[in-house]
Amino acid sequence: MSIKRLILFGAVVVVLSMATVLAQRVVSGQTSLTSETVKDLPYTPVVTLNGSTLPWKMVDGTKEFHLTVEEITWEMAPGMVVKAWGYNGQTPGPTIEAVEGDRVRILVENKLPEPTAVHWHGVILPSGMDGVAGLTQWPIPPGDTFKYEFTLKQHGTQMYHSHGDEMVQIGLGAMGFFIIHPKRPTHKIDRDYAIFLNEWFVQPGTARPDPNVMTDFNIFTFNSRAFPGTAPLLARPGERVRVRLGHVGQDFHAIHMHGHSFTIVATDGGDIPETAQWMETTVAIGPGQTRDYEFIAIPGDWALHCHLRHHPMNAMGHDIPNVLGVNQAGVEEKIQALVPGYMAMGETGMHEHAEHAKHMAGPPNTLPMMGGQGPFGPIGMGGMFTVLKVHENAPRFATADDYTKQIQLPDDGGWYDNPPGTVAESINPDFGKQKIGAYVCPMHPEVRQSEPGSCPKCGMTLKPQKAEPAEEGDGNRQSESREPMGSQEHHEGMHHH
Amino acid sequence: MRHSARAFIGVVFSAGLVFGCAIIPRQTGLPEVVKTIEQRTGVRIQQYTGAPTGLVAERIHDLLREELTLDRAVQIALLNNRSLQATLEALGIARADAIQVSLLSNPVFSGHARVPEDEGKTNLELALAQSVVETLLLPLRQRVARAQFEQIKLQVTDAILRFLAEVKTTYYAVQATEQLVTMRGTVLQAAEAAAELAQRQYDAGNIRDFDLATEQAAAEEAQTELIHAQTERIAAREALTKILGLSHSDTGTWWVATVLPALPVHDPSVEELEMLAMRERLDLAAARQELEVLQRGLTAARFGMLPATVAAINTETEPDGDRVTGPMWDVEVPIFDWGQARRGRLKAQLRQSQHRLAALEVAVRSEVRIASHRLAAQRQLVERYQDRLLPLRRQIVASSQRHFNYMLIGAFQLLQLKQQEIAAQQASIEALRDYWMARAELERAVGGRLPEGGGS
Ligand SMILES: [Cu+2]
Repeated sequence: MSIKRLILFGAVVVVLSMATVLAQRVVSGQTSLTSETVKDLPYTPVVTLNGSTLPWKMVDGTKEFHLTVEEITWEMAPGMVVKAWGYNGQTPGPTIEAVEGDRVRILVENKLPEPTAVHWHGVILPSGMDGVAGLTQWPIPPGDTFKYEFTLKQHGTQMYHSHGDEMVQIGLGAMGFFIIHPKRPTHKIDRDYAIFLNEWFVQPGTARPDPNVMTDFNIFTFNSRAFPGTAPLLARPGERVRVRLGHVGQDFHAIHMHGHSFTIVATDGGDIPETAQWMETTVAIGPGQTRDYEFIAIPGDWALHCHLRHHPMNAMGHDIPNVLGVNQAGVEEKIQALVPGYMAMGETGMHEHAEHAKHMAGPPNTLPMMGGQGPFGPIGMGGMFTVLKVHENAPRFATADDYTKQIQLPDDGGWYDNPPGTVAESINPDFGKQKIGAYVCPMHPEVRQSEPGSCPKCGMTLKPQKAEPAEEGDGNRQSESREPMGSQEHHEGMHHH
Repeated sequence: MRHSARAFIGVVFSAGLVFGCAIIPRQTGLPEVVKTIEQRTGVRIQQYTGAPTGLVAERIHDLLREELTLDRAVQIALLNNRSLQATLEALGIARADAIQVSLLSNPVFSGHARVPEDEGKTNLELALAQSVVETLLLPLRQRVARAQFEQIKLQVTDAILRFLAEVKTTYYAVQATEQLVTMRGTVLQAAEAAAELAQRQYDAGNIRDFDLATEQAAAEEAQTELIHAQTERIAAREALTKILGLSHSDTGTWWVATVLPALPVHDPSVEELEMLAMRERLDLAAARQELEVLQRGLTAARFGMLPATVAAINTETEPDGDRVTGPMWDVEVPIFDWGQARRGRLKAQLRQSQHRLAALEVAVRSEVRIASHRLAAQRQLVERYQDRLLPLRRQIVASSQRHFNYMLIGAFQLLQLKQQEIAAQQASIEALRDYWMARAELERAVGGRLPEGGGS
């Protein structure tokens, strides 16, 4: 890239970055890179899923960034908006991208009600630029702007986060990626995704994360979004994809990606020599760490999630009396006589909950513990869950921000079209073709009809009931009459697009 | 002399008869009592002798056939309560007393026969004597008697009004206990459902034995609460049965509306009520009447200073056969007792009565204020329960149901919150019951009926 071109690029960015300042409360990313300019970057821009990249302007040969830390309203998933503390209207804050050797200047404006400081986590810099309130600098008082300036001497996936009252400030979302691309990349990356891990406690029915909770979190997020609000990773088969994971929270996470064994190519210490790289399918990541892994995309829809069992799940009660295996027939009616909306749940597990959650009201501003509809029925996940979609026709976005603007939900981009004979199926030849006796509401058994439809009382999809006479055998167990998750949902899912 | 004797006897007796007949109350006093009660409460009382039979029994039977409303209960009580009938008999007694006082004492006939030791005719002396002063004072005494009778009527009417208040209070207690039994039944249902669920969870290996026992204990407690409520209900029904004068065989046959009436739009002001009570309270009227009686008594006592004089006609057959006839007087010589003690007593009684009336007025005003404030306080409680606490409790259940839907809380917690809602309902019902009881008490305290517009 010539000097002239860099200046031109800088000018474009200046205009856009002013727009950003004017519209800082807008959650989705600001376009700072265009298809024209992105071609000239010496790197593939990182896609911060559900986030954006921080624009900059060139001032006297220095890349100047502007971060404003403030309280924001942040949607964790449709149906849940929290009052978080973020940078430039986002949590995680917009990703800072620069190149090894760049001189950067970062202006940090504090619009929080308390002092702050920004620590450039893992970046080699002068001690006085390290951003630890009290230790390396005066705290930035509310209303003031501090200038950080240093030259990037390394490359790698680094982070930034508050280092003043970090219990509260990080707890409410004040963190972001600081990605330094190598001056001379060893190889080309087709797609580069960044996922910041975090965990929160938001009391169901409230909107402000509780920073005083230290361990018993109930919302686990990728880039401060919980499934089904997490954007998918898109790729075409054969593309080289990089995923960068960062974490400054409280828990340990084990990020597992299906369908691939990937190579850990870098840690927060920088690139790992090729001979020292290792392969795995689950990358462990603790607070303060980053990991980059790469893989060659294999066609399919692949789950990508934390492997701690409760992390791909939204808020649920932990001290509710266990009802697994408890037949509530009879008791349910008694309770309904008192609490008309009562519905027995959990006898056979929680799978059905994903279906219920669509129809039964929960507390305000609260996500059901699982949700999301896939091509074969409810996905039954929440929290740290998203999908890697490797499709032949996966869209190629010119810029990272184009991606963010256009892709929001996991089923965007459609579902994988499995080649014939490559989907697990029932060995029962009648699967999905049973003679249906009636369509019944799972919650209002009195609602029965011969045609499919939804319950006029609660709106739930009517469940097909086999034509077999109910009197035979012990047909009184509710679950007996329930349809295994199958063909009906399949069609529903396909029609979704 | 014969002539004069006849004349004397004629005057005395005819005076006695005239005054005596004039004083006898024509009526038993019942119609006036009936009228007052009807004016103040809208119900008619009926007096009968012996056990209620015939029309009365039929009427009671009819009244019991349908839902026992408050009005019906009051009617039955007035017809059928034997204590009330006993109270009504006070009228008869008072009337008899009045008549007694109005009668002249009977003349005294006296005779002496003296037989001579030697020959000669027997000396025979006959006399018929009648107290003169008593006869003269008869009209005065009659006025006192009439005033006393009026006083008794007022007292009887007042007693009936008190009785009616008691009927109402007893009735409201029944209504409330009916509702409370239903509530406790609902709580038990909730607790039993929870215990049954717990049992299944325990059997499935999901909860600890003491979790199960906790739910079972809660269900047992709900059961004991229900037993208490049922006992209260039986006691309340029994109290109503008793006050309605019904027998054991009737207890199962009547039923009341199981919902207490809603709060009336507003309650009268305390100033209005105090004024009303001063005008309407019959015990006050009776006390005023007592004052009247004593004043009349005092007037009578002044005349009572007249020395006791007995007029008589005396006839004597002398031993010689001559017969002499002539009047005779006994006149008390008021040297020692000239009536000062009796008058002093009456004056003291009069003053005492004045003080009592004043004290009663103060007490009645105070009673009205207390009853009025109690009513206002009960209204406030009912409104707070109905408009604030219950909606909050319902909101809590609705909201916790939403939490339950998302598996954020368990069924036990949901049911517990439901039980708290029911407990608030119970408190609300008790407050409403106490409101109506306070209202009955206030009605009584102002003399039977609240001002128009504050209607019950
Ligand atoms: Cu995790």
